[in-house]
Amino acid sequence: MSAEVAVTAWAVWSGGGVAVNEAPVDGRGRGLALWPDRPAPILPARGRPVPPAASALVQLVQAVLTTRRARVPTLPGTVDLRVGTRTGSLEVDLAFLRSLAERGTAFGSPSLFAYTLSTAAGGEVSLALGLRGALSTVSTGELSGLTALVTGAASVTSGRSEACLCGAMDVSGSESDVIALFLLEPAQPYLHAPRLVGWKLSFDPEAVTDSTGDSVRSTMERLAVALAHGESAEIQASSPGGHSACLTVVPAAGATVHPERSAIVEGR
Amino acid sequence: MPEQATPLPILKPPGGHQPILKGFQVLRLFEASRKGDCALKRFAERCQLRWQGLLGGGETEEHREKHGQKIHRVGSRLTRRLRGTADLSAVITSIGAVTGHGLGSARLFAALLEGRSAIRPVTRFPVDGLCSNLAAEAPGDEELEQASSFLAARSDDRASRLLLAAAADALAARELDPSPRRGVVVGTTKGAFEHLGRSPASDDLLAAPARALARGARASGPCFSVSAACASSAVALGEGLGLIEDGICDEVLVGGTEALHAFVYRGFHALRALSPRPAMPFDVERAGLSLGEGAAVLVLESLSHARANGRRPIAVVEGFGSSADGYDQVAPEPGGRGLLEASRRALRAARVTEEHVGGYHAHGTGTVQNDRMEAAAFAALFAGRDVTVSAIKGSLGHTLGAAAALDVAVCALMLERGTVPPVTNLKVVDPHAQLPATIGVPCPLKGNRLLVASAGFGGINAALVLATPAAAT
Repeated sequence: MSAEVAVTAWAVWSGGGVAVNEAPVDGRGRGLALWPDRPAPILPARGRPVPPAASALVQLVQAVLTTRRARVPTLPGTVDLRVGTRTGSLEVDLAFLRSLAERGTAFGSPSLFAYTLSTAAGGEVSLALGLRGALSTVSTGELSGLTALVTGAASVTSGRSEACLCGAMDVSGSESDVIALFLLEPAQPYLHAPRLVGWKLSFDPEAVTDSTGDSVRSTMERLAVALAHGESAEIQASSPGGHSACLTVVPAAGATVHPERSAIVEGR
Repeated sequence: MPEQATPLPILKPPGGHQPILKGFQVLRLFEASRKGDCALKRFAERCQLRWQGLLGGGETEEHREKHGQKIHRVGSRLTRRLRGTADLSAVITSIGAVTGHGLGSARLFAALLEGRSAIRPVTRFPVDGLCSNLAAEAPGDEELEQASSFLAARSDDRASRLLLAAAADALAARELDPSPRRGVVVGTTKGAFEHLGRSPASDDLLAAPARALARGARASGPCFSVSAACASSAVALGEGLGLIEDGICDEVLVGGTEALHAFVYRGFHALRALSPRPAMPFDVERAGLSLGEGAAVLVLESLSHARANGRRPIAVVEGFGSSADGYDQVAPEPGGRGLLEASRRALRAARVTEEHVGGYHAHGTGTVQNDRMEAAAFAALFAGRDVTVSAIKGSLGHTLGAAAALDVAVCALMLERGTVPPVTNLKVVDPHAQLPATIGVPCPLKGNRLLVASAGFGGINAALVLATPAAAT
């Protein structure tokens, strides 16, 4: 695919911290780092307690959209949300299983069960921030985030999406936890932003399970580094399961400065 | 593509405050240009010039953005239309299914025509103390593996076994040479769930069925799974449609699969959503939903690829639309606004209006919330028009991530045969969820185009437009 799509804002939240329109923060630790500022209050939907990962996604979406609005006040009418995930709703699934074991099979927690879907966190974004676009998750193991970007970019260039928040969300209390979001929009002259100019997905049905060392977090961080440094880069990755993905990034046309930065960068 | 035969009409010089041409005007101009890559390129360049003129016109940034998006949308529509002339419309050429009615789409459609239900007492796990003991269970693992043995793909989870058995039904008569232009997209909500927590490596549960199918079908194009709650496989079909229309793939195996897990059964019990009787969508005496398990695989390919290989299109997938209603995690927006928006987006993508639709295939779970929401959306969309209504969850239960793929499989067969099966277990329509549903016996399909609706947790709604090959040309 050779059409172009602009990356008008992005953010990566990992064990190192939160970076918005910046290179991601180095750092390890189990789970996500603490949010550096006092987070905006998020109302629970219909009185249900919202799992932390879902709240985290809402916060990061808010940060990306706020950053985008600071550059050009209006957003496209409809923003889709497409999140790549390897672990899905793993933590909530395990919590619901524990509730069944502790309380009995007939007494599972309905509030927990409501969040045992990989799209529940995205649903929370729709509830909290009023996004009315399409909402889905995609999975290709370690390449889930790149797959969301590739399919999102194709959707934007073909006009199926006006804009698409794509990225990855893998939160299971491990060192590889990450939430990363990239706002993709049709490349327009007024959007002085780095662009994705090529992408491809493929699969090897004969693949043997040799790990290449790519993870959801590493692929998202490589993309964010290329965007932040204004580099032309080809983000290539493959997974033990046989998936491969490639994404080509170029800096903003005629760029002499990087996109506006609203750095929220802080260690643990 | 040939060079254009007729010159493009010359657009007026860029003017600061002149509005950009409306979409239909642009399309008319473009059609006059005889279509062609060269024409598209020149047209796009002119649009760009015009756009830059607007930029220099001192208008507000908001105004610029609005017009920029309009140009993009129009350009995209042109691209799609241009590709449509190269027969990149997406057609369904093979259908495979596994449900509580057994192996095969023929068996499924026969059961639907007879109004039979596969919802019976659960045998796979204990259901003591729960508000229901019913579900529509698919055949056992041994039968599934036997059915899909010729695909030579290993599967160690039930959702993949179901999917491969459905694929075997769809692919039985096809050559499966390795192809980088064959893609796989599978909708599922829980994937290989039985492997949950076994090891960090097994955390990759959602993508397992898609990989199993890609290996079985020797597909080396894009391969991924999609989740969107109970609309998962509707979204998978939307993705498959995009891969065909964008010219990335010649054919895409689009699937939906879901195994019946005790975890999910107990969860729906916790929500008090399970019916103690087999589900009765839209019936005044309904008492909730019945769960089911199953899979469907649809071979979606470009019309030109189908023709080149001598395959007859069963139905055309004309458009897809999706939306989030932002109302609640588990309850749909009662006025059906989310489903209405998704339906309108699907119709726009298909470039038709509701007046071109002869049948509405409902999500029809059999819960009060869903049925009344759907009735409200239906009334707003069709405004009293005479449209047939069908639904299949009274017969094969709610198969969650597989539901929309099974819905589309049945709808493609309805279009092929011109017959609408009755809504199983429906006797008297709920006066608060009034829909002209098909009761008791099959009826002839009105028209040659169907709207297929899906709705799910998280406020997700999706819709697809299907048509007979004759209607789409």
